[in-house]
Amino acid sequence: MSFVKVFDTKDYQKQPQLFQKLKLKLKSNQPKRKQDLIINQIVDLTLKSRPLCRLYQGQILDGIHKKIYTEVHNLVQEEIRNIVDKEKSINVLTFETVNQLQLKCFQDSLNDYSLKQLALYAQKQPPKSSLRNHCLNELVKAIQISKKLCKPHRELFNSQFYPLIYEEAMGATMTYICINIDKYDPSRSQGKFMSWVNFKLNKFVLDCRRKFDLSSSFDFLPLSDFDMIPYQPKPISSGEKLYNFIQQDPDQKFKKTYLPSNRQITFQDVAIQRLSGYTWKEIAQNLDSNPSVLSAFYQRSCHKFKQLLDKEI
Amino acid sequence: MPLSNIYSQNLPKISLTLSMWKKAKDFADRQANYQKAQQVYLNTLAVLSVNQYLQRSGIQTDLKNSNGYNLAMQTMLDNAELYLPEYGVISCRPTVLSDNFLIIPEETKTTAIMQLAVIISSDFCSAKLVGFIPQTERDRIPLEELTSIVQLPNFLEDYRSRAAVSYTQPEIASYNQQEEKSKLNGWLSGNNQEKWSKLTELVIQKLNLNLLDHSERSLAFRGSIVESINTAEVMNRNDLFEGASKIKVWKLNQQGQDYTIAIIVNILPISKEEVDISIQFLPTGNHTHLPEGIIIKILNDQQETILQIQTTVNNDKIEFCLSGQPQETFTIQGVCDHQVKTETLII
Repeated sequence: MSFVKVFDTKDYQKQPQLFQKLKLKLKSNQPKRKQDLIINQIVDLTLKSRPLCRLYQGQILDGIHKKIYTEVHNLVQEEIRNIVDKEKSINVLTFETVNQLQLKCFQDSLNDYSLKQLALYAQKQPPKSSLRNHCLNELVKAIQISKKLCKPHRELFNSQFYPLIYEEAMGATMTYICINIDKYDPSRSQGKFMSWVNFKLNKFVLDCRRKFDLSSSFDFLPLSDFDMIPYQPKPISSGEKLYNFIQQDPDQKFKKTYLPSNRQITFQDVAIQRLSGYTWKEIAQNLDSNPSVLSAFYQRSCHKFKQLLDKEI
Repeated sequence: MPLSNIYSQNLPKISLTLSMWKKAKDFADRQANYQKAQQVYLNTLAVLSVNQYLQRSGIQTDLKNSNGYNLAMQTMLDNAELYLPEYGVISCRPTVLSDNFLIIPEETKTTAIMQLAVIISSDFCSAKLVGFIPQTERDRIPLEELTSIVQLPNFLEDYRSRAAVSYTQPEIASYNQQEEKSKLNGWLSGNNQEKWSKLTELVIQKLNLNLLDHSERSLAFRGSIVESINTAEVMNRNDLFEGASKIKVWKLNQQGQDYTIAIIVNILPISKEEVDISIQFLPTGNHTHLPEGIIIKILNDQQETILQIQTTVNNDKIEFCLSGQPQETFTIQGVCDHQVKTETLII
């Protein structure tokens, strides 16, 4: 079975350049039909980086996905056509603005009916299949892009924290939707799909309120200093505790676990060095062995002693 | 590859949220220094984001029993493992975009069935799941070489049907098969276990086993060999009869043909604490060679593969040598086209 490689980079690199080329082709004195053709090409190009209706095994899925794609394609085409007609020039159109336009058109297209269809489509696919996975991802993205999500209980939270709570609740809701997609019953809630979603979101927001003590300082938030993690070390670290435990070796277990190929090297020897921060190369030199053999031995032995080490911290 | 390319691809993106940051910090704060804390922080975020992605994909995860979510294991190792009850352990490596590589630390190579690359944004607000590579000995994989994350469910199913077993993570393996385990030590004192028979001349003749006085070594290693084996002399006929040897046959069907192969296990106590074990696989009857394409594994008491070989057309015999301690268990497993055969023995 051959697997699809991740990146097809050539296409994407060229997009802004291609866009410029097409833009240059578009002239105000051209016949409308010719303009329409070029606009069509511009829309095709823009939609290549669309957030939804992505290809599955080289094609857009039939049914609702294709329908949404077609609808958005038409909407974007119309909008560009309007801009060309109004402004008589398209310098106002940049690659970025056209992308934003695309997003707006998706949002307009994603009404409750479309979202419901996306959900039902996903429901139809066999559980755990790649296709269902694709459809559920599309559904999640669609829900998030759409303007159909409510913002419940704003009044209960500090305006600073609400976005964070909301994000957390949203994550939980999307996971819930995916796991329980088979439970969705289109005949309920007056046929409105988003009622189901918003109902859950509502519940998760309240859950978050219980979970996170809002009077506390939320000191676990990532710092505004990028790449720096919030770090408040405890007086005695887990590393120190384990180091001491392994060195003391009360049941003599660590000394007795050794490399089958070299009985001189015990787990205790290796662990002490590893916890002291030596690299595998250094440890191998110190113990006169091979880094991969040692690290594999260490990894397996750690698994073996997991419960024992667990108790210690 | 330019940064923009990866960010432009519609790769699965998971928003990192309050509960994830809190847990990551909880783990990180326990570490001795900033460097280790950062490693643990990123590993935790990677594990949690993959966990969420997999849950949404209908793949069962077990965080509680995952080493990447366990303080002791995170402290001892650079560990970002997530346990999938149906498939096994996967490793979720935080990857730095500008590096362009998925770095696989030495100590993560043995247990995970695959390595995933997860790019965590510098503001820690989102994680992108880039791709994966099946278990490998390599240290660095260029991101372009990875298989798209979208293929993950297919890969896992494919892997499962090839391995033909449901993997049990070591710590939660249920050993309620205690009674079924053949006790090797019992052999030395003459206890007779069912199904394993004593090796006698009659048996050798009946099966037409090719036990020479001096046999050639025919061992080849592939895949996840993780430790060097005891380099004892290959067991020959005399040795087998001198020590305690037992034999069992496996009936296998490989590539449409039926085969009967014999397994001879011999134990030799070296000291009170240690025992040398030899496990031989031999063709029987009219076959001079073992069937091709069988994967034979020796698993330790944690159900991890410690030795593995895939038979080729040239194997007239295969022998494994191990040493172990009393009370230790090991498992002999053979995987062919449609079957998996397992024998678990306790020393």
